[in-house]
Amino acid sequence: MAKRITTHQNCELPDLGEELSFTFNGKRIKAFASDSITSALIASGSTLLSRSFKYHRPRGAYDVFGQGHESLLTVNKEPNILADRIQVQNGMVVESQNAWPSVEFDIAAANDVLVPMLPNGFYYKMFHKPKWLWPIAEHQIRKVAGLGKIDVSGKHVNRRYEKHYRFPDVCVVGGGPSGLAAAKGALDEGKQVLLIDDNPELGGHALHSILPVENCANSALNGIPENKAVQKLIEELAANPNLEVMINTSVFGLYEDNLVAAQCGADLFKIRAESVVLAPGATDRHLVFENNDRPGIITARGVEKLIMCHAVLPGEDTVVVTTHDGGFHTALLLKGAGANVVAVVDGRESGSSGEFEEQVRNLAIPIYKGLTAHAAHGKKRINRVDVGPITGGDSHQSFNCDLLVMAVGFKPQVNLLSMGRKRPEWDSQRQVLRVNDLPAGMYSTGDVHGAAGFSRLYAEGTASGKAAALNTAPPETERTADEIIMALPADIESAGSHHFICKCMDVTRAEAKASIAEGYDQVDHLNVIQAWAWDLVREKPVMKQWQGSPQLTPDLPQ
Amino acid sequence: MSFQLNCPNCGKRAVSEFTFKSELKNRPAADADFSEWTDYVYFRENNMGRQIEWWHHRSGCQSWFLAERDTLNNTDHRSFWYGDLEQNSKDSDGGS
Repeated sequence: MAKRITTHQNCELPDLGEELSFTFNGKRIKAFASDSITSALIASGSTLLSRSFKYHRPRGAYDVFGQGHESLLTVNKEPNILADRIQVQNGMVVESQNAWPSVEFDIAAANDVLVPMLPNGFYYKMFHKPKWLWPIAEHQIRKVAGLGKIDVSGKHVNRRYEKHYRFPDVCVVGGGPSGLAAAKGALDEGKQVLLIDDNPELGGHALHSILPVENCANSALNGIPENKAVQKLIEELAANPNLEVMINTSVFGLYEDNLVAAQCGADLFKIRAESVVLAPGATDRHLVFENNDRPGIITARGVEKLIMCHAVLPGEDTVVVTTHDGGFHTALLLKGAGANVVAVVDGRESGSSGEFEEQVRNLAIPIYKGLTAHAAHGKKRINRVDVGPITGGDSHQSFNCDLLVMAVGFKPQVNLLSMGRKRPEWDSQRQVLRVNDLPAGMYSTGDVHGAAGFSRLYAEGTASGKAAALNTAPPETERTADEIIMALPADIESAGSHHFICKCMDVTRAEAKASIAEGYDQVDHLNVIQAWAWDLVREKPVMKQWQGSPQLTPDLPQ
Repeated sequence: MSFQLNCPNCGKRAVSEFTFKSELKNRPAADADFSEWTDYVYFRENNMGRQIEWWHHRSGCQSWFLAERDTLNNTDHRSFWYGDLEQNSKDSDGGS
């Protein structure tokens, strides 16, 4: 079970603020002022947050950064609020959506059994003839479509939506180490800087990393852990009168002549900048295996954030699935918080072990090499995980656990970068999708060019900020061999038929393959026939294994 | 379209403040025949590339001016008053 922790062996825990309470599906939940809705719910043991779109499968917090559908909840009668990003308030009324009569017992969960028996895209085809059938079918389909329910008695109905304008010299998108460094680089040139981040707090992933900073160009940051270093960097910048910071603000579009469109609550910001630096970072990659959508499976960065920013230990018996040293960092944080780390399953066969792997080994935590997750068991919360070879086939071993941590590499968030009409390209050396070539006046930096250590992010960020301020050519980026995380197969050929490649739209691998076999082999067609969300398809190993779809695998390396 | 246009009176402003009026064409003589006037009133070149156009600062100073613009990518445009047309059209190949 999840619990609140009071001490941690490896780091200081934050001050959680005053105690308050809110209700979730009518149940009173205790929380602290610094909690997000998700962290408070996890701490209280509410694993089950919502039901999925099509099959009404139980879903719990997965990413904890507001990047998934799992945390879409109805808050104070307003539907589809990303609970990961909303801080709790006293007396808040939070409810699950897409479930009837309750999220614990949802009648429509029968879809999980029924729908797979129907052919793909069935309602586009099935009710087409005879003609009189479609209006009746449409009425029924409309009833179940969508997620939250609109309630006009909520206060949000009377909210005013405002428009604002900003004209900074340099607009930096992303407030992690590289974004902060870019802001610093531009500020040092005497420019007006606007720094935007979509989380409630600046600092990005560095906020929950205990890796000591070494060889950083800013000597004041050396020798302290990344979470302390990034705080120091934020304090250093905060005093500068030329810097404006916008938090809880999402940039959703980039347009001609560096027009940046951003949204903060009910406010729209139209930002016209001389130059724009994009530092959106990266998120944990997904792993496709049987029942990979079950509550209790959480990304590594999500778990780290819960422990270090909210003092929440999201499970007791833990298995970490990893392909890089970052997974061992998470395992260490879990151990330090008092969790029982049952096993660390590393997809790599060999290779030199990193700093955290050594520390985990010294703690006598079992490490299994060359394996990965094959299947999760348990319905509303996982209770067991099968592991086996990364190439698929039969599972070797089973572990009882209530938390499965996914640390299988990082996926650069190239969404904003590809808005300049440039397509992401697979960089076979760095093993990530990259956008190298941006329109004039736009710069990009940070994890979006491949994960790297703090001091490299700092150096490249500062250089990008400087280049943006002076309108010079974008600086080159570099990643050394020990920084590159190999993109091991992420589509595991294990037994079963619930390998979700898109959890938002409830699309399994089997369904996608069937659609491709029917001739919907272009991504746009798949989108229509499957209500397909596109983010997971771009993951190379998923695409690579679909031999029946040459259009999807045009120029990928073998 | 979200580019910025230079009004000769007000300076660089968002294009949403302006109204596009037409590409610049030579007005036929008053006694020109009917088909020539029809062409002038109803037909457009619709150039792909650089051309000189009439713009109106609708939500600003209300002035009419000419702008040379690349219709493909809206970059590197310049604007000037009608009175300076002769000098400006000499500098470029575009326009009429």
